[in-house]
Amino acid sequence: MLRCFADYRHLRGESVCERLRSSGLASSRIWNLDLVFIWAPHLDLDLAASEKSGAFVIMGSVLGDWPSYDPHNFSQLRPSDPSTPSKMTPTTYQPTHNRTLPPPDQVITTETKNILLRHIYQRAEEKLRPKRAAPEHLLPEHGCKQLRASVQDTPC
Amino acid sequence: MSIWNYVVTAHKPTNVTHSCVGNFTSSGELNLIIAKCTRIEIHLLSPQGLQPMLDVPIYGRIATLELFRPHGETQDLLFIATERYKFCVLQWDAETSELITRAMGDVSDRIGRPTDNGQIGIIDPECRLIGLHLYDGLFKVIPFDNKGQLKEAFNIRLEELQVLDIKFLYGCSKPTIVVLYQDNKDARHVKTYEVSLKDKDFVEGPWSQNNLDNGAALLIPVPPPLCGVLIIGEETIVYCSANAFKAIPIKPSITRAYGRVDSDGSRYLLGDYNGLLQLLVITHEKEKCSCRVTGLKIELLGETSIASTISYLDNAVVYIGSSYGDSQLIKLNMHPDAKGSYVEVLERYVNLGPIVDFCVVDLERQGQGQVVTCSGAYKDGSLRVVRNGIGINEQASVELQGIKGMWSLRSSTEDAFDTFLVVSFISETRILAMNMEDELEETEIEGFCSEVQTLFCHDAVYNQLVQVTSSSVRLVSSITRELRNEWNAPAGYSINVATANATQVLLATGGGHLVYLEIGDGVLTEVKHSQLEYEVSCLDINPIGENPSYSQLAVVGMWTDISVRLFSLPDLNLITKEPLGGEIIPRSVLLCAFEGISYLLCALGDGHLLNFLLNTTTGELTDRKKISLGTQPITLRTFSSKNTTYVFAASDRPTVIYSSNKKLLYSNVNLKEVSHMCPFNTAAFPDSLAIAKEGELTIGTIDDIQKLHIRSILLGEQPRRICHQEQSRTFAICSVKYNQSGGDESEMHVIRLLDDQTFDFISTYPLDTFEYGCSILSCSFSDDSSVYYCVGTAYVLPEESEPTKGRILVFMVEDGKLQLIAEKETKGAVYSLNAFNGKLLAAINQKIQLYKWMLRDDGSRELQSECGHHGHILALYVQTRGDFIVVGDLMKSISLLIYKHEEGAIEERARDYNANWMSAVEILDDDVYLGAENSFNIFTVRKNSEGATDEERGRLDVVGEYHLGEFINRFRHGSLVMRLPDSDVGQIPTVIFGSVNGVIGVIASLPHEQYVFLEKLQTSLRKVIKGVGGLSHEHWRSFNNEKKTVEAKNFLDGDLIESFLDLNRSKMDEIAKQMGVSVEELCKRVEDLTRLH
Repeated sequence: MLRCFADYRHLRGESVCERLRSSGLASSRIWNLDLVFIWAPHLDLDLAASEKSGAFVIMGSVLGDWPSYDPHNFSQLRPSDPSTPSKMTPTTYQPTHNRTLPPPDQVITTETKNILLRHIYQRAEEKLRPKRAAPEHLLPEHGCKQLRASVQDTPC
Repeated sequence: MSIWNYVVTAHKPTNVTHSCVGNFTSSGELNLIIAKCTRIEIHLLSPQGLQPMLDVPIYGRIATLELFRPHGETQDLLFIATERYKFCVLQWDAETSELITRAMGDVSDRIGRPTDNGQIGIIDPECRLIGLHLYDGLFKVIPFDNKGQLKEAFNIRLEELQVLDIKFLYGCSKPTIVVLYQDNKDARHVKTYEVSLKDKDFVEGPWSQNNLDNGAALLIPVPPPLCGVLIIGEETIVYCSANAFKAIPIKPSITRAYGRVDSDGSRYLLGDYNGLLQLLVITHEKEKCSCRVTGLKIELLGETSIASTISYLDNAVVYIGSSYGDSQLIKLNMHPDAKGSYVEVLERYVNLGPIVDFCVVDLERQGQGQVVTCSGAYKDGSLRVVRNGIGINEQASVELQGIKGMWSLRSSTEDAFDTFLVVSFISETRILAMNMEDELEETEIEGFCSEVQTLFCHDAVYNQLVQVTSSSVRLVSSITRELRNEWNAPAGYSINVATANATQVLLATGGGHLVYLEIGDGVLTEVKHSQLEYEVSCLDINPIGENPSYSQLAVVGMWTDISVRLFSLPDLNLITKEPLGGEIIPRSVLLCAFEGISYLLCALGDGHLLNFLLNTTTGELTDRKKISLGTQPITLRTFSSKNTTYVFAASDRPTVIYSSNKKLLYSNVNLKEVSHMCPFNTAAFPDSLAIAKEGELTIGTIDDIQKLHIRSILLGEQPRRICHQEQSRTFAICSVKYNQSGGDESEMHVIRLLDDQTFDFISTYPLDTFEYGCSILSCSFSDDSSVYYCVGTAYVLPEESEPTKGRILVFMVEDGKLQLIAEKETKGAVYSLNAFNGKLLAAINQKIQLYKWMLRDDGSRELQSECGHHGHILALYVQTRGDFIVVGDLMKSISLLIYKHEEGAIEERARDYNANWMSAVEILDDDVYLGAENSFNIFTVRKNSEGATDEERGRLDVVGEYHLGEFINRFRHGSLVMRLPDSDVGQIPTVIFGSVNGVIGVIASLPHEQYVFLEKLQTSLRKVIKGVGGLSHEHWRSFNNEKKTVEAKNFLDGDLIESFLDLNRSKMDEIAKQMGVSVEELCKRVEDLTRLH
């Protein structure tokens, strides 16, 4: 834990979780690129393909024909002086209306049933179904499960 | 006692964490939506570029931002999930231009370990469900019903514990996720699962792929017709689907962001940790009824800021959102530029984040603080000079005492520029003009009377000039400069005040006589005369109607009954009489229009300013507001800059008044005292102002009008600590330079000395290999008059979990160079350095250590250890006051130590027993200390000197708690605004903070009475200003960390309180009624608070 925080302090450009989220990596990895690389034997690297096509050909074929939703968008935009940043500031929104609250049925919660209990009941149900088809096989071994299944109807 | 605190944002977050593009505001409009941690911004794509629509505060830190469109909807909905496990679905209502909440909820679980790699929120492309990965081993599902409504959420157990990324696959008959995970041997694999909504469980998916790139961290789902997923690693990129597998090697790099270009999913933009932008192409062949992927290609396009998010907008324009540098709008060109780059930067959006350190300095020595931040990371590191108010850039200045008024005049009506500057003194008038050499020299206008004081001057129609003195109004030709006509005041009466525009003159003589003249070609005609019951103190006829040279309204300020009156012109009929109340007479009145709204401004003799909305047809005055600008009488003048009108309020605290989003804003000008101002727009100095201040006449241009000014000094390396030294006029920084030569990456730590005006590097001291600069301080020692820079370092060796060795280096600035004077080895990292009783106090790993500055026999100096104090996990942040030392610990919150002179020892006096992981501390006053911790909270603790028992005295009581939602790296005492000692606001002590998101904020310690008042206001505002998405303000501000959640106490949210000023009148009335004060009073009190930042 301290190790992690030693790193975090040195790189305190961002909080731990932010950094981890943005990179999806442990902090040390950012500095340490010579990582061990596990190759799967079946990984057919398309080395040849990327080498034989020259840069010019690639640019000619892939750069351009950019998607356009509305051809007018950005048509009148001229690059600004790079030393002067954009200063447009939008209005700050202050909702005072009543529709910030959703319709009552759209206030979402997580079902309260424990994931493990749900799992057990589901299993029990599955086990119960074949039981009717072949009761003589299952009944002796799974007596207790059957008992539990009867509890299922009561709210938990 | 600094217990009652007010927290307010001076600079909003600028760190862009998420972005997305879609038809949000209407089915035909394309929007870019940007998340800046606690705010979202909605932009509209237009021919002119990105058009900002709305800045929306969110009561939470945004973890997920996604646009989606359920079946049957014509426009996209916005899904937002916050780090504190709330989510909402927002819809834009174009009719009312409001955001409405379609759904919201709480997705927290009572048990569960929060994910290490951040929260994941994804939406099925067919809109069957929303998937959330918030806790290890759990996947939460919020299903949609067939009408697009959300249903109750449920959890599914996810076997993979170390999840790196999850995405939904396109083109699957059942919702299918692909999971990238790491196993317990650190190998990485992907796996697919179908989500069975009926069974609320996973079903094994169509394919999986084991043993991927060890750095694989990002999944990109590919839309139809190709489908499948791209797995982005550090050395390879793999395309994977049920029936295809293609891979290419890439130059080692970490991909941080991607943006899809084509809707068919054939091209992607990838941004890496060095800011390189690459294009990834999936090559494919069309077969009869499907597409077959034939391979992958990758091409380097160029360099941008280090991207945290990439959004392809339209027509080859791309938005690059950055956490580490400025965000950008770029264009992808068909052909490379001279440097081989296909990237052209169109716009740049300032980002101060992450602010890792900052200092408050007064570089211009005007008594106003400026913040200099260490901003950005890696190659995008920079220093930013953040200053409140508007600067005047002096072009010329001349000593002139006793200026009583100034006006600029043109040499002909058609002339675009001003030629003359009329400067009036108590018993004479002088005329300055620009000569051929663009120098200001004295000249004469023969028709003017120069032996007396001028009351008013103006350009008039027909190439004429008007001069008003106490005895007459003179009309002068601007060509021949000769007198053409004169109107004399009646015998026995002298003119007291006067005003004019191009065609009209209004003046008042003693005895309350108001005279209205009109200007013709060589004639002055007295049109109307009226006698008022009292003397006139000020008047104005600035045209704000359709005719720019003729006003139909006159405003007059009165002595005795303290009122302003509106008269119609030319008949001088009284339309409105507005009593001002109080005993202070109006000293300057002004009619003006901003953004199509007309206002009447009225400045009082005590530095207060009243503003009214003016109905120009009826003359009705409404929405009266009062604010305090200074303490001396104010003179109001309009000027324009860049085709926009502003008002300059000259006083002891000069202010520029302008309008933004139809709201009046007040920005202070960075000058001490201005008695008069007039615009002086000459060919040589266009858009300039002439300013009379402190016996000096200055011609200067004005900065862009905005509240905070940010100057960026891009370093190309990452500054980590900063410190200013007044005596040498330098800054010293600890900085890291990252080198990438070939495949080798290395970092070099240096101490740099910078000039405090130019910010040029003037000297550099390289640190040893593995040596990091951890702290920096400018100080002097007892018995030594020199000033030193002290630097604390640590040797960060790869094999050590904590540094065991460091140094304290003492430098002196000599001939602009850093000279090492002394050096002392330490047994750990020197996390903090403080000047303490003429000695040096260092925090070294677990220990606080005090060093004396000793003179050796040979005349050299050295640091000698005096005493220390053990007992911390890691003492990271230290502040001192007198003999008291406040320590912020890595894990053990705040403790208070005391230095005992007689014994030469440091002892612990008290501590906070909570386990807060600190990120900054500051001392507010003798008894109250402020701390920030790593769950984005701030809190205050109080020394309990009056405790009955030792145990009680040894405990720091927590007195204030608040969830700020920002990770604070530094507190510093100081203020961004000029503090006037005699104003109310000037008495309030403030602390400035800087955060990872680039927020600069102010914490102000209020008097108790004011706190109680504002707390009541905050409670009322909570009911009126709703949380977007139905999120609760109370919940958002509650102190929250892994261990506890408690209601905020003794901190107020200034951002909410100040948003009172943005409410419409009826809401203001509603709140004022609840508060039991007048709207005007309430506005003034809140307006005053805005002047804290």
